[in-house]
Amino acid sequence: MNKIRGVGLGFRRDIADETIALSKESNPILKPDFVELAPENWIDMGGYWRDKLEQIAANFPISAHGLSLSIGSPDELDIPFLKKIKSFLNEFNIQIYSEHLSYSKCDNAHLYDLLPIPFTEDAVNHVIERIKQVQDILEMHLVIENVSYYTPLAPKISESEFIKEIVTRSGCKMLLDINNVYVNAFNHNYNEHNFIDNLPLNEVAYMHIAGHDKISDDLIIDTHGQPIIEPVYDLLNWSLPKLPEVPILLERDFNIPNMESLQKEIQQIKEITSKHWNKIKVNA
Amino acid sequence: MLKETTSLAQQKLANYTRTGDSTGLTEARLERIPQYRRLVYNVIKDILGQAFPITKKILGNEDFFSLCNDFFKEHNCKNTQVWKMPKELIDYVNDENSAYKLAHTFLPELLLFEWLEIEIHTMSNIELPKLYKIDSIAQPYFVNPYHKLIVLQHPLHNKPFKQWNTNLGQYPILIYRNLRTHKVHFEELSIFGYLFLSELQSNSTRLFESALVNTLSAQNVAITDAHILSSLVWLKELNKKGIVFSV
Repeated sequence: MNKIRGVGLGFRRDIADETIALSKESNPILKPDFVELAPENWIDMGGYWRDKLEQIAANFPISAHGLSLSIGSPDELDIPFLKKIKSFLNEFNIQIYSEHLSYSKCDNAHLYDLLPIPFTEDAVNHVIERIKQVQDILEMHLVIENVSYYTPLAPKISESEFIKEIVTRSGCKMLLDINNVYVNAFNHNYNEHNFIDNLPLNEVAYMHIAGHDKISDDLIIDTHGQPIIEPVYDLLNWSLPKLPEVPILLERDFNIPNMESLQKEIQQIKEITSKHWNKIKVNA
Repeated sequence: MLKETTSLAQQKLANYTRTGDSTGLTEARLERIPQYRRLVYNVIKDILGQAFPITKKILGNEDFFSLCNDFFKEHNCKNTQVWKMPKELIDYVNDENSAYKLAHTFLPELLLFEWLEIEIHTMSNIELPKLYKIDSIAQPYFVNPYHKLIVLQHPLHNKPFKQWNTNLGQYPILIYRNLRTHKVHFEELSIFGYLFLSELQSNSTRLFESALVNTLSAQNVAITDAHILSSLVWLKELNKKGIVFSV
């Protein structure tokens, strides 16, 4: 159960049983092809939740999407933590480990949220060195996600240039989060198509798509708490011909609806991907 | 190598999310940075509120969230796994200079009591030997590894809040996870029961009789047939509850 392809769903405790039950879903277009989980939420976990983890692992391929690596932090990389990640990935035969191009730890304190790295040349070099270190330890590619952000921080180069330099020079892969592109383009008033065209699209190995909350006329917060909106589906549809065929993950972290609603979103994503990649058979 | 200006900008934003102090944070959109502070504190308050529901109810939202704010502002959270972070609140409140501890003497114990339920529920699985019913005190034993023994000074497990400070004493409690259902249970103990279970944890022979002899001799009591009989009855009860087994 290790080959990741198709459209996946985030594995969360709130919907653990319903997600496990989807393994018996007979209609492939309504069934996630894999699940994604945050290793930090499951490492060292025993008892009831360990049972759930083993059940999902027995029924779906798993990808891992980390929260605490803090690849852009001024602090030292946490090597013992990375070794725990490696052990977890090996235990569950996880082939994709992605993380955020951000920092979540500073001055020896975890913040448990994703802060924007300054778009500067020295930060590019700093992150590249750390990605290489991570990849050496994990003995696999790190897949780095373009994150949503609400303010740039001391920028000297563009966001797309920042991402492109890091991905191409570090040898890592990219997680293209379509919703984050939409959110950032709106919040920072840039063209989302131009932005995507400036990314290293050949290095995209994985994608995310999600909903968000518009909280004012000029600000969207990337909550993963709403259904995907049509313009984000449109952006996915526009992007796919430019990309290699990669797995796509539906993220839903808050305000989680019933499983049927999530399955409809999975269906819609599969219908879009099948138009371009022609790998997923859609029942008429 | 990060330039000082870059790392300083990162430090100032991180510090702002914790303290609200935006001094020197010039190269950012200041009207947007409160979103980060709000998002960070949402995580902290949610996680701590879920971990400590009784504490939150007793302190009330205002005081509880004030505690969360002070904790996150003053304490450097060490844990990479956010679900383990609430344990750090106990250390923060236990600090001898903690105003919260001075204002609410029960608070360190209550936080520990609530945290242990999480800790035991989530304890990493270990491989267990084949377990059997207890028939005799001469058998070798195995103690359910998913447990903690504590002695509370405040009766917060069995008395209403208003009686906690007026009923100070010694309240030994066993908190354990059922091996089959994974549910966490709380078991009130006698002082002897607490001492005996403590001895069972540490006894190197792993024989019931040896643990019983050591427990009694620590209290200058010689073992009798009555001790053996009553201990066997009690051990059988613990065995039914999934706390102690013979192997």
